[in-house]
Amino acid sequence: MLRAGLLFLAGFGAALSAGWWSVPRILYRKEPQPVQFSHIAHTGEKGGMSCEDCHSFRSDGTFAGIPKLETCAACHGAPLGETAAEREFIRKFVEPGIEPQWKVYARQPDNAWFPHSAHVLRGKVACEKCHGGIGKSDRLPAYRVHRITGYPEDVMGKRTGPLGLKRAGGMRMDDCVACHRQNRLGHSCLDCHK
Amino acid sequence: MRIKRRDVLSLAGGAAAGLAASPLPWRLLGDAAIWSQNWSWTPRVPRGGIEEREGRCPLCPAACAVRLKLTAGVVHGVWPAGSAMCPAGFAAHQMAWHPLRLRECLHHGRPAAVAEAVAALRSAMERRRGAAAVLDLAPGRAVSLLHRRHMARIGGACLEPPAIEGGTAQAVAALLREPAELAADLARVRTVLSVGTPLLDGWAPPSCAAQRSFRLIQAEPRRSRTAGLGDEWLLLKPGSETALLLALGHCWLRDLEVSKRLEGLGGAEGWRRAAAAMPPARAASITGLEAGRIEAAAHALLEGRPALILADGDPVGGPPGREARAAAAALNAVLGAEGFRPRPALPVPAGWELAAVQKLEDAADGSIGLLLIDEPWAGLSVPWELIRKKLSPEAVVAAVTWNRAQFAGKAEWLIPAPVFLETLLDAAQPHDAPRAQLAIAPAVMPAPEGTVEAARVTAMLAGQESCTEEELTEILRAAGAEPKNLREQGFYWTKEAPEEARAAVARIAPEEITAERWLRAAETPAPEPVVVAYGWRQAAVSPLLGKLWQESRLREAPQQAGLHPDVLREQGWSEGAQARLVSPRGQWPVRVAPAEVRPEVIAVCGGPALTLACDVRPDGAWTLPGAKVVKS
Repeated sequence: MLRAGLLFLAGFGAALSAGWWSVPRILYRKEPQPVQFSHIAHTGEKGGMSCEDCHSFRSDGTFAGIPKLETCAACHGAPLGETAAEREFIRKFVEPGIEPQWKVYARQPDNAWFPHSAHVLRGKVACEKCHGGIGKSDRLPAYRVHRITGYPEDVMGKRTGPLGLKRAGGMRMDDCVACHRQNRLGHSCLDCHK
Repeated sequence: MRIKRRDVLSLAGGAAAGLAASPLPWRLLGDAAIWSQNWSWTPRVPRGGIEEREGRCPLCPAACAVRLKLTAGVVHGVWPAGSAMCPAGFAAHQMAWHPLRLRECLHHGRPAAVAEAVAALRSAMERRRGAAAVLDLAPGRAVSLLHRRHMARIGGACLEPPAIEGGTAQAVAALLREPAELAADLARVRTVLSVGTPLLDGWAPPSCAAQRSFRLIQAEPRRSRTAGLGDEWLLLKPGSETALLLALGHCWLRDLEVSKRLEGLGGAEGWRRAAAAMPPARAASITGLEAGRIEAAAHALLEGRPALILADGDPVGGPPGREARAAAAALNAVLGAEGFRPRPALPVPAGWELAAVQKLEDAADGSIGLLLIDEPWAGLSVPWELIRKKLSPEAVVAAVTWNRAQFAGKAEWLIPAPVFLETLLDAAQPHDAPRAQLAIAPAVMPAPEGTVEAARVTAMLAGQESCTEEELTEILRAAGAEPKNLREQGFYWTKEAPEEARAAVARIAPEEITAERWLRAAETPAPEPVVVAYGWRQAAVSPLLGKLWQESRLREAPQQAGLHPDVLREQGWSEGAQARLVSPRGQWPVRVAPAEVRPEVIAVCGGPALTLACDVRPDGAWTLPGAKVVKS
């Protein structure tokens, strides 16, 4: 009986550990970004730019998102500096005029839309609240995409909630609703869904 | 150490329990559910910059101003522009992806080309098996004028379904000295008696419920949303509307001003005798109301003038009986039709000849050899029995429709029509305000290949090749407007009735309605159990609406049968139990729910399919004969 109990506990412990250990690892795969972009090189003392210089709002209040190549090319038409990454960026993208296919960490599903203007301009939500300290990073974090759903890890939720039943720290519908509830804001279906 | 089977089982059991306590299986379940949102056949909105356009929602006569959100030419959001908007408006753009959408022309259910359909219709017209006619399920639009113009060229007829919204106004208009089109004037009235009319739930714009300034007395056999929002609810027996309206007239006859007004009005004698024979005490036994409440309602209407009496009926349940509506019209006539004002006519370009508009029920039985049904948006329906009676034995029926289910098996040809935002659809005339309007929605999305507007089909039948857009532009020019980018921006034009516009009443009731007929209609009980069908026409715009309502209990979703709590208890049904509504006309799955209704009433929230299956009583009311709810 003792032997059976010990074996049960061994199986239980091994599977439990494997389950917890494997969840983030086997469910996601890494995908490379087209360019290893350094935010701090642009927003630090040397670059002196602000977030809005590239991630701007259009005149009608809509958010332009990730800048197009033409924004980059305005400064990087010719190499700025001697680094290999700079030369590579000019050769691969600026000279042939190919848009870098950036992987968007916070890409929302097609059936939902997230109005940046309502959150940033009206709600005064800081960029860092959702995007963390990426604006001050030297390297882009790994882009990890969910093997089953196809959504990025930042959207699906990096952390696991109590008992492992729920995700946390993502940008899923539950997270939107929780934040709206916390701030006593409306959250009807058609506020976000197309 | 020897490994026994028991060891393996212990280890496996522990592993299974350990895995269940880890997030892995639960994550896989949840993620598989999210994965199912991205199946390849679900419609996708293109990514890109969001563009905004303004327009009008044509799905009901309120014609709310809307803002459209587009990405790469695909509309993915409809929002109100400055005022309230109903849930159907929010979901209106989903109609283009409706699962019931007809996407190809069908002949007896088999794919065919639109050109084949038009050729077959022309051939049927030439064979002259009866008159050619268009049944316009949404009359009162600019497109309706096009149908009339095209049908005038081929000597065809333009038919309208029985009036539901605006039916009382038409009944009052029939009593005028000079023919005129009337509309209720809700902004001017102080008291409204609504007999089964969903006044605050789809009849008027969505803002009416919040902004109304009139006292509302709602009389109907179930607690509808309008009854709940109104000031007073009279829970009367189904089919007893005429008795209530005559009893109100009885109370009014004691008023000196009313008696004086009756002098010199034609058709008053029959009504006066019928009203005199229907004191509140007698009406109380027929309607199930207390006599005192009937008297109180009569006084409230007289003292709270200007007053309006509406008996329009429900869009799904159909109009009330002819006598009930005539009784409502008579009460309005007694008040000098003060709740209605003449509506300005829609502009008609010079030189246009228009076919006369005829009511479907007035067309001779068996007279129509070619019928083209125009169903421009969801939720429009009439009992098929009413249409069938008018067809000649070898009649050809075609439906230009967005929907592949509604007329399937009934119309020989189903021709796919473009829907809202794919074509220049325009709204019908408002019922709640005396104004004429041309509210044309922009066509901002490309219509699927093979779809064709109903007006273009009638134009082709008339041998005309000019396009609908040009003809609409002609109408707008006749209204004094010069539309620019009609297709992209749509158009809105309105003309208010002059302040002093009043309709002069000549009669109190049609002469053919004798006192005996009034009283017979008032005292004929409806066979029990009575199915009171109701529904919100726009609910059919998007299946998502029905699902949201059902899950959120925001409002009754289609396929719900409301029964008196005592009846539910007797049958042993719990709320939400699955059952079937069975009638000789078909059967529908329903979920039963307790409702504030009379015990003999089954209040069925239905849709166009239920309307199509209804029978038409001799008095013109729609009914589902011999229906009952049974366990499934």
